[in-house]
Amino acid sequence: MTLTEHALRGAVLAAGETCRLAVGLPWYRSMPVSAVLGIDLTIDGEAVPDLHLRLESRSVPVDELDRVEDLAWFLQDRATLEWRAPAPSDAVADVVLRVRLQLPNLVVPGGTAVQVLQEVRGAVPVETVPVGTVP
Amino acid sequence: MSTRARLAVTLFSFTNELLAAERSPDALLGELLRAEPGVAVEIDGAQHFRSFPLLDLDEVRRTAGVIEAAGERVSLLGGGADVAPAPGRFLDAGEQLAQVRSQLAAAAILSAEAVRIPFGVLPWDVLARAADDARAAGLLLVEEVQGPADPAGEPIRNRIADLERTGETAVRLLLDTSALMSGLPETYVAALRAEGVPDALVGRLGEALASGRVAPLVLPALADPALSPAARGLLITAMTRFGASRAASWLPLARWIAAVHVKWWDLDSAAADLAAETGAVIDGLLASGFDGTVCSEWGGHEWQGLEWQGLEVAASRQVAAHLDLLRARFGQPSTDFSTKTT
Repeated sequence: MTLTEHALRGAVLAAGETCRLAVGLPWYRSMPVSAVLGIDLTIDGEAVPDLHLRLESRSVPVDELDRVEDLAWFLQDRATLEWRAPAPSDAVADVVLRVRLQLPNLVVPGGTAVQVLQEVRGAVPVETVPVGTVP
Repeated sequence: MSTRARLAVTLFSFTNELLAAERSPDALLGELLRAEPGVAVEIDGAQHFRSFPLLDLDEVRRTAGVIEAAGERVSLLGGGADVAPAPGRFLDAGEQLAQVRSQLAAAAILSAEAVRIPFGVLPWDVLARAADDARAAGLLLVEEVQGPADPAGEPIRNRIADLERTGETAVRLLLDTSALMSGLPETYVAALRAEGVPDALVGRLGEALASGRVAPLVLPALADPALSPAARGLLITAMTRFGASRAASWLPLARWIAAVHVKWWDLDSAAADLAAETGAVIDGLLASGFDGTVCSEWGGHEWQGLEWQGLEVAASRQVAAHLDLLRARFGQPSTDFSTKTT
């Protein structure tokens, strides 16, 4: 298991009114949340819209993460991705997670920060959550 | 003049264990200190402390307690300023300095010798102000050069000129021996092939490493849509972390080099590197009076993970074997590495 595979280690997709998937940070150091430039999630080949990231009790739309100035993602913590649909219908979902990071400590001459795109793929077990309950 | 290497090992070698989160950073640190008595430990601040980069000194004191309880010591604290924390956001000099100062204060609490920072990220004026704090605390700031770094290139020449012009004594270089590789590690080549990278490209990559032209090969290759993201990541690793310069090109800088990372990727390539330029540069540094730490740093966890080709890979066993290689190479009994000899 490498630092990218780690992101889906032991993951279980909780499918319900709101779907949830806890993921690890696919990088070797902790990151300011503002340096998470984007997260894309694909479930069974279908891109997930309106994705939120929940970390330390705060839920942030993934396209607004770069504006969060007071939150860090510690490398041992798992954050939860949340979305309404699509919900997988099978017992196992094919998951593709792409996370684009700006490396806050590395700049090239001229002052541009280095970016990386990490992709993780996995067959993730699905647990259906009854309506009205929160996993 | 010292001719003895003082051994250290970095917790960075345990990145996969840290990511697995089955043990806290302090628990892993305690295990390592007990497993390798007499070997100093390097801590990476961005992996170890929740408060990084502006360190909470109470959090640091808890880690210092682990080290004191073991009766062992810290060589370096890995740090540096997160200068670009968000798109379009760049810390001003005061913010950069505040982060590095907190790390120097943490290093003092940990009784470390130095704070390690990436080479060339802090502008000289910030580095010089941080050096005032370092000097007052009896610490060094060491800028890490690695992989494709060119000892004769403009960035390093400029830094040496800064040091000569100012007479600054608290800023030095850390040489990571990924700059002196003897070839592509076998496990890395196996990982490339497992990701479907064509044999022809793998072969050219080995030649490009030897000739110092990895980037001109890799950059156009990355445009190939057939490459998997993992393959791209591996090729970027070669471009940013691998180098094959010669010991003779670094030794003229010996007086500026205050610490060494012996970077290794797998035990076979580690032995080959120690028999070649990596061994030669450490021999040369020791002969010229180097008395910093020689730190084992495993980078192969990036592609080997906690399992490799169906077998469990425990960093603790890998690191112990690499330390044995270093002891054998430099002919020192392990108990002689625990204290500074100058």
